[in-house]
Amino acid sequence: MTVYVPVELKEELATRAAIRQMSLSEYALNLMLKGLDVEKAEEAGQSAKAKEVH
Amino acid sequence: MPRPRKFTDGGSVISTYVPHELFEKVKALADLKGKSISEIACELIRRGLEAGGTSTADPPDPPDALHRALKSLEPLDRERVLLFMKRLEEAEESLAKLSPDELKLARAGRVSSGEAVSLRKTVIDLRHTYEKAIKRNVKNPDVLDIIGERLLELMKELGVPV
Repeated sequence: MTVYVPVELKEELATRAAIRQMSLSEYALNLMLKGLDVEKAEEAGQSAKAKEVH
Repeated sequence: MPRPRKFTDGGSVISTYVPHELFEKVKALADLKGKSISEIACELIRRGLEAGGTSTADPPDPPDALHRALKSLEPLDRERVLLFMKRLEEAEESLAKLSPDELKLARAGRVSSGEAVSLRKTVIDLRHTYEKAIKRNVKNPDVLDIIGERLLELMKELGVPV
């Protein structure tokens, strides 16, 4: 997958990946998985709120 | 006429090798939100970064996580990491003692007071130790994750280049 990102974000990712002894690709993949986790948690929260309103 | 730049300060491309299942999820999100796959992937990366590298489902307590990670190390490596952590903590304590003005200057890489200069030297030395001794010998990613983040914070606060 090719992802177009701002230069500063790429630099930050490269630094953090190096700290973890990971490749940029591997680190980006981990972050995407975490991002999906966050998205799911938010969706679950929103649907719970909607149920309360009803 | 060229199309306008998406990132005015400049953009760059990263290539990631992802499981097919993840690609399908990202593609479905992109279709749902009417955005490109790349835009959705970029958003997810930012969200993951904001989440601070921990899973939202089960965020571990940092001291516990470090304790568990340290247990898995060889005695010599553990000793190395503990010594490094002690120096990191001392540097963090010294950083907390700097005045707001000194901190502002330090972040911009313009340290003025004797304490700030000495602290910056310490952090540069810590970075060197991390690169030469810790990263080369300690292979546990959890340990590197925890202490690396703390070192990175110190480096940012003192304007030490990464």
